[in-house]
Amino acid sequence: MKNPKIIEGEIVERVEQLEQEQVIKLSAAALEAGMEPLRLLDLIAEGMDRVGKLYESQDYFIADLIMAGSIFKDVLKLERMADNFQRENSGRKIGSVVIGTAQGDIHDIGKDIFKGMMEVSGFLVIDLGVDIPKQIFVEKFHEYRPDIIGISGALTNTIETMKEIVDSFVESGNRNKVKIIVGGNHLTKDACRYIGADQFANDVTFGVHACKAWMSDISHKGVNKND
Amino acid sequence: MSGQSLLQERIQLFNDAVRMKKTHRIPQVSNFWTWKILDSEYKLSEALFDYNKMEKVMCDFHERYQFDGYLDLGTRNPVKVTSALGGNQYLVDDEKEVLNIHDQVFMEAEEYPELAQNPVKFLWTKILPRKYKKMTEAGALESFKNTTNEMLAFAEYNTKITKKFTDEYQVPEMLNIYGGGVILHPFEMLFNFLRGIKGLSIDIRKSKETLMEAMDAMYEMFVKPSVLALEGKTPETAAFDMYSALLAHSILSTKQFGEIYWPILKKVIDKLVETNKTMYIFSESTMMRFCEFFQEVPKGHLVIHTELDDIFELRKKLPNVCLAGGMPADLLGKADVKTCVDYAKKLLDELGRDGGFIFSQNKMMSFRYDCKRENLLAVSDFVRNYRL
Repeated sequence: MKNPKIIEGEIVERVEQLEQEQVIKLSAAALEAGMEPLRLLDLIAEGMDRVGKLYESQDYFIADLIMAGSIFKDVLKLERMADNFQRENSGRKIGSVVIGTAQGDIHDIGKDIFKGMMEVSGFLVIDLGVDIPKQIFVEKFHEYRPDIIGISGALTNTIETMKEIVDSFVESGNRNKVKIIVGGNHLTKDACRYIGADQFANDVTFGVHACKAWMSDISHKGVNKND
Repeated sequence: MSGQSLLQERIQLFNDAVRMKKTHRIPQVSNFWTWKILDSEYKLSEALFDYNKMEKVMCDFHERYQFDGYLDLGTRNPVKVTSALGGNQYLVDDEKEVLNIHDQVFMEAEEYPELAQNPVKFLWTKILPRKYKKMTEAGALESFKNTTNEMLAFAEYNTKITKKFTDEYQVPEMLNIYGGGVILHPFEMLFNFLRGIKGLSIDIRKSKETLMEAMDAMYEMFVKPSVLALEGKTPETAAFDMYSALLAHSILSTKQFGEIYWPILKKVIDKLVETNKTMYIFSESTMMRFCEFFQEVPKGHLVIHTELDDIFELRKKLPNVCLAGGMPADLLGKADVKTCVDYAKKLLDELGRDGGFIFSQNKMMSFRYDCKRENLLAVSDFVRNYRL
């Protein structure tokens, strides 16, 4: 068995290089040798953070983020990870988000990449799926009381449905209890203002940064979910 | 101006634009897809499943807005053909006014060698039975007969509407169907019809060698015949020789584009240059990061219709390529007439003054809120009459 520090460094590097088989092999060996699942998760997150930086510099692009998501999912499937890793109970989550693709759209790629990056970043993510109507978003808000609502869409018609979803939070008196981020290639500052969201993101890393910043802000100021 | 001369004038305008010559007015191309149905008296399903209604949609649309060319004549989505064979990739929802298309995954990464060995056989024996369940069920022969009839009906509509536009409306075809026609890069075929976005993204990393071999075989079988056909003559009714759409490039980094996508696209472009022909490329999403590849293309052969790039920045980076697009759906759908016309004027003045620009909408206009009728009427009228 190699020096644990060397293995840890190798895991991070293999994640950064998106070498799926090597990541899984090294992770399984590390767990077998007694590494704590949460320690492994930290290493994967460190590697993913480097992937995010390579995406921001455009050395990596969307296909690479999808590959990164696939690696992350496979690591979570490893025996001790699956047995031990329960984010809800880990006490390590930095926030929670309910996400879904707006009604009228069945695209899930952007949403799924965002979901993976948010989970790696320590968020609890409740994924509602695609073609989600406004009432489901509100219903799930009441059920999970998330810090953030994330609405995804690839089609231009989602600007209207995103607005309807945000409006339904206003109408139900919940708008000031939750942050809302909308994501999609077609979104602009003007579209975001029209929708009434707090933030928009054309790429996932920006979206994740925004959500992390909110959580940092919330941890200082707090958000009243029980108004 | 006589009808015939209007057709010739339009073809000349397009040809001058792609050759980067100054034009007395800027030609405009319609990038309207299902929006034109929503602008008509019909529901989506009514027009998509009835060629007579679709013809009326197209004719009313042209008579109302009078574009110089159309990227779609109601022929993009052959829903009747695929439905006859039990395909369910098209989801037409009249209530939400949406035509959605499922991500299509019909092959596994392990099957690339088989695809490479014989693409046609692989499609017939593996993909079609997976995609169209009726091909493997009792009564398959009858289903196939019905599908053939639907294909013939679709082809008949295609021919009829194209002829009507060239003969009656004097609107040229956007491509030479007997020459280059429509080509789809093998990576696009894999992305759109075979492996899906997620599968292909992983294949780039895990199965790159077999993926590249399969793409080479697909090029020989499906793309090369069109490329060779560029050696023929351009008919007098076509504005361009070849048409292609880029979508799958949107998942690639610059390095991946250079290794996976560009080599085959370059073969096509090299032939265009050799035969002095032209191609109209509709590029979904953004393509600014790939400019270094297109900068090497000799002036006068390509139109790139950009969707989400800043077209003014793209102009600076690609002085050798005719650009199309520019008019934002955001404005057409949300702003007032004056704002829309002002922006159209800015596009014409800044991009059209020295030639090499075709006015169009940036997005594929598909949904009701993509555009307001009064905005489109005002903008198309302004562009048609504006003289530089």
